[in-house]
Amino acid sequence: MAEPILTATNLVRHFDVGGSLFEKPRKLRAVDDVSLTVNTGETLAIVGESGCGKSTLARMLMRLIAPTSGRMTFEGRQIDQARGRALTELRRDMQFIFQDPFSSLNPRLTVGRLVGEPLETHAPALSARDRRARVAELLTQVGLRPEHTDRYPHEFSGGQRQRIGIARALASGPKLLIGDEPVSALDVSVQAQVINLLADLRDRLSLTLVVIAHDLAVIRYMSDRVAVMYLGRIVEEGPTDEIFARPRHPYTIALLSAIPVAEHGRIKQKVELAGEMPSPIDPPSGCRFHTRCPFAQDRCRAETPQLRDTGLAPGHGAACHFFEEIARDAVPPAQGAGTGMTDGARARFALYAQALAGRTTRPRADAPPLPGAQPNVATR
Amino acid sequence: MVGQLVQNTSPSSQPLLDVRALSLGFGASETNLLDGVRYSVDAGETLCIVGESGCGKSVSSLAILGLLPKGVARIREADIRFRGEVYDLSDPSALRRHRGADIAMIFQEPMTSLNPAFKVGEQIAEAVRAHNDVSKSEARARAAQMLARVGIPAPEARMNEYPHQLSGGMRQRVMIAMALANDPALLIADEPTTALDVTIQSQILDLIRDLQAETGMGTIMITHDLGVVAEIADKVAVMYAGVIVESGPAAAIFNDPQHPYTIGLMSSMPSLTGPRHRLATVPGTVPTIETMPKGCRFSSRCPFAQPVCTTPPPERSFGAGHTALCHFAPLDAMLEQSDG
Repeated sequence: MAEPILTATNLVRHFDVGGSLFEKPRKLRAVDDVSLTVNTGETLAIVGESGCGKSTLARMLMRLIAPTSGRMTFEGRQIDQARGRALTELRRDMQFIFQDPFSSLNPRLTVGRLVGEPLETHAPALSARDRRARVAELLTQVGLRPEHTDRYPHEFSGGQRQRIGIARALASGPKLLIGDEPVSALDVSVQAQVINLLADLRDRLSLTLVVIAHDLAVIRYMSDRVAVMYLGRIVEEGPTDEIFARPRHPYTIALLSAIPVAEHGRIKQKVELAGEMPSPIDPPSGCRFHTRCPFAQDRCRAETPQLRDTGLAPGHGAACHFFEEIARDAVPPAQGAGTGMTDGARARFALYAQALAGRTTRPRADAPPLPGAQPNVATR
Repeated sequence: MVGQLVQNTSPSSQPLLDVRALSLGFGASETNLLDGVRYSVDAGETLCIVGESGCGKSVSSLAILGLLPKGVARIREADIRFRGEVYDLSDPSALRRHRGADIAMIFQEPMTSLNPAFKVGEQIAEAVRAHNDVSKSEARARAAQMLARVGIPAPEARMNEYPHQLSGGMRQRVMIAMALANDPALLIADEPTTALDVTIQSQILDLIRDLQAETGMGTIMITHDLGVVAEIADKVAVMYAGVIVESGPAAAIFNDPQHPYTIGLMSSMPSLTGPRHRLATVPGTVPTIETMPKGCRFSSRCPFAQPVCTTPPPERSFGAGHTALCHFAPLDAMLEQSDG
């Protein structure tokens, strides 16, 4: 049932930078020839480091900015030139979740107004009472309470604010949500709550999600398919489990191996990348990754590699001339075990998971005696 | 040679920095912002203080450097030793002598900690001259030497660039060069890689580790990322709502965590391996100073909380410097499921 909902073909976005009366502006190639398909009901993650063009791509998919060239369709309709009424309709079907829950909500509006505002635009026929009911329903959906409608954003924590942002995005009844780093501003424990919420909403409301992120571990829990971007291009694309188990592009391999793993004593096979991402104003010739690639050869400097099928899994492709040879010698980045948890720790993690699932715990009758209730000096 | 002006080793019998007790208050509130914080770091050792935003991990180190904004937080208790001597937080001039000399700090956002109006070479040279009686040209030579040491290519040319001309990773290298220019005995690094991409983060962590091995300095790394902790920590202190709830050697914290908060934090980390099950969470949100629960500060979010948790938790020891503040540690021996 891989029914495409959103497609992009040869999408390009250039920005003019600098320039003056006497000087021609230079072209910043933020997104350069990107093609992708988002299928109904799936979550596609677009990952890459800062400056790779992922946010520009997201804004283009959302039609917040227009592409310089290329074609886009949404449910079969061409949208790359859409304007006016067509664009308004598109906004109802496609909504955006922003990264920073602190700056994306108007501090002067109550939560009720914030969530109700999109309803005024997209469902003007709704009576005030129905709108209030709908707002209450939306707040419940994202795990907030209807009583919260009269409060202001500053009264909420970061995670709760992101929930408000999600409720606002859901107000118009969209089919597709695009999240630009939706959890990266949140603390780990809260981040997990929002990741779970987005997964639940997707299932309950049959949504399609596009998630832009820099954190590979996060997108592993959020996505069905992954596209890896480097300097304006997609360098690797495939099913999530496949990308993590058998990455083929040397950039993906390096990216995976650079992530610190929260496990003690794990020996990692690191693929170190020298230097930093070059400027998209004057990108390297041929393969854009060749300036940092430990495997680069002459052909990489001359010839731009196209996305080629790896033949490992349906839809898994990598844009590298030599991925067969490179990957043959590469160790899966996540290999090598840590020193391992104690049995007691395992039991504690299991207890924690069960307690979260709602099973109550009580002190054991045979528990070792509490050593003479001597509170620590440090916590008076 | 500037590098020899400061003695770099401390007798191994005592910790380099020994924070025996540090409590901070806020206005008239009776609840302490930091409550009985205690940790120590030896020369050549890396201590990671890990916790989420607002837990007080940055505040505790700013307090040690005397960098807290005036009149906001009040020090209610401070018993600190640096190289075995009393380290007096109430003596600003003494703190100034330490700061940037034998105790250096690097911050999360290098762009806001560098002066945009001065060339980076001048800024490093200034740090050298602030603590050493050397000529301008000697200080400049030291700056160039430091830039080379932190892996900046063509240091002589980079000296004359302004912060905005450098990338985020390069700026953080400049910050490290500046911090280490006076051969500090202790480096405090507050989320030094959080603003950087993972491939650059990996380079910076390697750099800090190499420099530490070279100089034998002690390092306190403040971070929210357990992955970073696992990479570089010798010792770990887990902080929650102004209290160190668990601390110990890195191996003990990762392989035998005791405090429910540590367990919750580790459970909510998305992992690169293993099955992609639903992530566990820590329910609720961090309490504010007004809503701070009595007794155990984690009790308002702890899935194991019992009535006794409204009283101060005992410090339980699990061998080799591993302690946790919890009424029910070890959980597996103290608790059982009550509904089958």
